[in-house]
Amino acid sequence: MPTGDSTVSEPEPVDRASVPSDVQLDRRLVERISEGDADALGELYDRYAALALGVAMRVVRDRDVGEDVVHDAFVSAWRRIGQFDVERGSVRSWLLTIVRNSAIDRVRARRVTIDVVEADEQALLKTGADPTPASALARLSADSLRMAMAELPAEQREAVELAYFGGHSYRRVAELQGVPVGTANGRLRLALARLQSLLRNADG
Amino acid sequence: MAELDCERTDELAAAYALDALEPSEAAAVGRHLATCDRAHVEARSVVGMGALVAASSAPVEPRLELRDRVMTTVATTPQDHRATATAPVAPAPSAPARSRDWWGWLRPSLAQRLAVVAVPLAAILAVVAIGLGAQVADRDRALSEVAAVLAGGGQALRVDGTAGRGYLLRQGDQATLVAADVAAPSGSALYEMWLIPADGAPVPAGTFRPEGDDLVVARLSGSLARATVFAVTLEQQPVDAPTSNPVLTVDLTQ
Repeated sequence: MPTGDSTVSEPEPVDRASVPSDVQLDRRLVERISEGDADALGELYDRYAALALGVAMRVVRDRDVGEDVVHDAFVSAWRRIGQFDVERGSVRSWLLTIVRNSAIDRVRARRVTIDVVEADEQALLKTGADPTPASALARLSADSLRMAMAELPAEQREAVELAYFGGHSYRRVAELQGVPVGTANGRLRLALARLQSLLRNADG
Repeated sequence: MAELDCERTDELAAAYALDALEPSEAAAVGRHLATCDRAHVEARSVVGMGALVAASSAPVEPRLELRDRVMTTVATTPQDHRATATAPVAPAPSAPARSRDWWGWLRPSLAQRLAVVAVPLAAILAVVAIGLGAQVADRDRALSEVAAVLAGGGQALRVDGTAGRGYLLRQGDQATLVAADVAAPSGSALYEMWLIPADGAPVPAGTFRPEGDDLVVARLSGSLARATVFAVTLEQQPVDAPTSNPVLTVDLTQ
């Protein structure tokens, strides 16, 4: 009951500038992990383990194997955090690429992929003057990304999924889809171009 | 694979971003983008799109015990960059000190499952010869290409450490080290390889000096018959016993 107590005050308005964005939160986690803070790795796990397992299971289609992949990915991220450059990409992208590549390794025993920390994205970004638009889009929510994928024409979405989650070359994608090699490759190009367009619109 | 022109590079960029190229094609695209002065706006803009595709996956909540597994493993896993920062400085050549039992530093984490693949050594060396002198962006593809030439008869053990990474390619009791991103040592310093038997004392197995960004391909002298660990140290000159902690290691008992 209001008593006129002078110590009761209105709640202060939220200063949105002081609320850390996801990107800022991730950067702080990377800094702490780099300093050997295992609790920070735990927080990174809490943020991305479910998404990581979702990626892993799209490839390996087995929960036990998927969880092994996620385990190995987070341990790898812990070990190699010193090689991750926050200025060149998002830790989410980095982590999910580790997960995807590790999962592909599992299902394709004859193919060995180098851990993402040495992968093309970092290497190519080092040779360019600016981060790529893909990096700029990396802050978009998973929901935005799912919606964008859902808006792709079915044959383009299938081509992307066969390539990225199936680990197939574009030539093999052509065989699986029963189309010429050029058509399969064209579907991948159109799909990524369409995704960029959709995501830029989502980014506003 | 032959070098690609700009048009073909752009054509393959999406497949490259989605990791949907054969290793030789991916290497060629990577080489072109790393060295071409043209903007290649489309190609460069799609790099990293694979990760965005991954992030479109529906999340799946892991079982509660997975977090504990991860944190338990992390608690006993060293971070590569922190191990580099604490690596001891090698003693001056005039007073080499024998490190005692530094192979005890090789922690149980080395026994973790490594990528073990089978490959004929001659085929690997042929592939590596193509990769030597590769551009910066291509080294990783060259390594994966080497390790991906699998046809039985050999074994490729993943080598990790603070001085680079690569594979120890084993065929019988002989082996060759193929590694990338191994820093060129200053002055007359060099890398020395060691084979360590179960009863302890490291045996010298050859030396190498990487030049610039080239891949390292170093054939080991001696037999792996009794060795349980392979290691590399940085030395001021060839020595009979290591004078510093290892910078690359692999468990040979995989």
